[in-house]
Amino acid sequence: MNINANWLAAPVIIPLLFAASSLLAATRVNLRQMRIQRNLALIASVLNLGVALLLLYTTVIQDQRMVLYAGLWQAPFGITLVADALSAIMLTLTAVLMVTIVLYAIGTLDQREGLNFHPLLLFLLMGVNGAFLAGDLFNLYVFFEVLLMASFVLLSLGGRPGQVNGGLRYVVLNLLASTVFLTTAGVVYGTLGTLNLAHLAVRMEAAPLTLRIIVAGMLLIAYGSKAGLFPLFFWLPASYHTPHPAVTAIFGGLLTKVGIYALFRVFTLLFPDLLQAWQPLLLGIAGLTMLAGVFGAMAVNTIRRVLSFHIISQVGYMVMGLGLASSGNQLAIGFGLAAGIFYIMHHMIVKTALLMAGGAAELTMGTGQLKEGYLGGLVKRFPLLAGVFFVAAFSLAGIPPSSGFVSKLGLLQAALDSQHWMIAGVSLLVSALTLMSMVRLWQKGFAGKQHEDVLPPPRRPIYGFTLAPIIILVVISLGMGIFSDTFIRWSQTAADQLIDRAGYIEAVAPTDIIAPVSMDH
Amino acid sequence: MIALVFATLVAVLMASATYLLLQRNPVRMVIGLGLFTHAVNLLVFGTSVSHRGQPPIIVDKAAFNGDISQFVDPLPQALILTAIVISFGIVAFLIALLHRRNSLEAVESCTDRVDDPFAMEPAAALEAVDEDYEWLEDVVLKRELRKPKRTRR
Repeated sequence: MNINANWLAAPVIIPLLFAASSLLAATRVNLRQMRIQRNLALIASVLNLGVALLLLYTTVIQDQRMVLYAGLWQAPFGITLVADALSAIMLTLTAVLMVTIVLYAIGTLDQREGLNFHPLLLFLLMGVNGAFLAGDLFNLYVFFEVLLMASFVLLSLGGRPGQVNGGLRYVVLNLLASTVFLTTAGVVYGTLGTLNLAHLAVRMEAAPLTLRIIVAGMLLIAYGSKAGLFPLFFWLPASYHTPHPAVTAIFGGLLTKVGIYALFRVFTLLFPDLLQAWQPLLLGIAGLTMLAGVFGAMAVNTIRRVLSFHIISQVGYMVMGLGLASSGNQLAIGFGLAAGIFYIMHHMIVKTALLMAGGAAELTMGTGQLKEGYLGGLVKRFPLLAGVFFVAAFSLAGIPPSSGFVSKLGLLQAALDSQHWMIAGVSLLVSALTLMSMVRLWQKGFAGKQHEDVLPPPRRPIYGFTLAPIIILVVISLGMGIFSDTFIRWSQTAADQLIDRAGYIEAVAPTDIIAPVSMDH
Repeated sequence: MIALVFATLVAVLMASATYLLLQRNPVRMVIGLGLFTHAVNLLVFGTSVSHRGQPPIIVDKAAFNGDISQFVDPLPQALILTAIVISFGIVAFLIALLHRRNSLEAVESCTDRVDDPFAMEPAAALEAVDEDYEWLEDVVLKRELRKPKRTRR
């Protein structure tokens, strides 16, 4: 089966159309209009999931790359959308998360944050999908901005003091990172005369080493701060715990992973030599990110703050996969990269489930404080919620048979195979500390007893719509652990396609008629 | 020569932007961000200044021999246009956020509740926060009214 390349535009167009029409549909603000917006969002996310599965089938199972030339302009001149296995995997995970988050919002959203939540969510989806499909640096920048703009508004939708403060930090630091990204695009265009990724991959080979180091370094800074890497992560814990739980859940599952995707894409396609040369740097960043995240999680005291810090430590594992991309002794080349991709898959599912469960607990109890007597008693009151939280938490910590165990095992194998003892040790240590942190969440937050004089009893019930998406995600996570060979095969396909640069360049086929602009003007 | 002027200009703008960004005053921070984005726009623009005075199209297609000095590259201008719109939108949103924050400054407990957005808010704080949401209260009120009243025995 060969599907038309025009399908590549669908993941961008579907959310855009539905977002615009749901903004138009809700002329007045009341509950009925909110319901219309929600139904439109549900339809859009299900359609999007269908298209994503179609692309997944074509790129991963049939092992192809799909290229769409917008307006049939040839590659370096027009806008090019490219989907390979990694893009399709990310698109599918995003689509799954989107469906579950719309369901979750039914159970948890109140009027205050529910206004225009769904159109913004669809704009976010459009930006994320576009970033996964973008075939050139500038469109990557534009889609980054689309998703950031939607996320800015989503973050401060409630207008509460904490949200405004968190939103300010988030906006300023992300705008700075985007500007660094744009600067890089300007430098690249000024020196190499192209922005198309495949075209750049050709021209970057002939470029002087200084230029390559500057461009790679600036991209590492720009994407690294979006992904929450070691010295640049501070915007994340400052803002992620403030918005509505549904917003935190989708942010934690999606946003940092777009930065990680961009790192994977750019480093494997444009700088394969630097991937080798900078291995100590990347592994160092990975280790420090893991440690910083997990130690930060120990120091904070509300459920979602702890979980936000764990996003950082998990991002470290993904970069570890990227760092191990070029090394392979007995294992196949690209095993490290495949392990990293599998880790992304596992993390997106489990992290969203955890943030959903933690957020539901916070909403119900009216507080997220992990002090003695604030939370607690959730096991008896909401056994099902506590159950899914338990499974998700231990999947994050890497207990078999969950997906966390398999993904951590893969990374550890890759590290030991290429004899990077240091990063292997750090990843094991962080894994143990994560388990400790999860046990703390469980003991202080879910088990134990709530003191009657601290807070009144739960403010609102937990609906089935709140629980259903969490259960779906937890089941997916367990499935990824039990049937891990299928998912590992998919990640291996994605990694092989990333390493096969010539195949990517050939698929996009940029025509090279204009020589690079000379630098002496 | 012109490239040197551009480089100096971009450097000066970026330096001032960095200085402003490091200030504690949030308004200065926003101005700094605006300057920063403009510096980058100029930098991108600088990539197309090499053949000044030429139109951004190929005038005589028949005589075109692949010599790119016959026209000026139009792409950077398109890129800048996009970037200007994006940064303008974000700075506008940032100013709106700042305005919101300033109107919340009256709420004294603003900072210590950053930790816990779901903590119970005192009535006074709620009032100050909700002044923009009066229409929403109407919606809630109507819902309350629609509920069947409980009769007491």
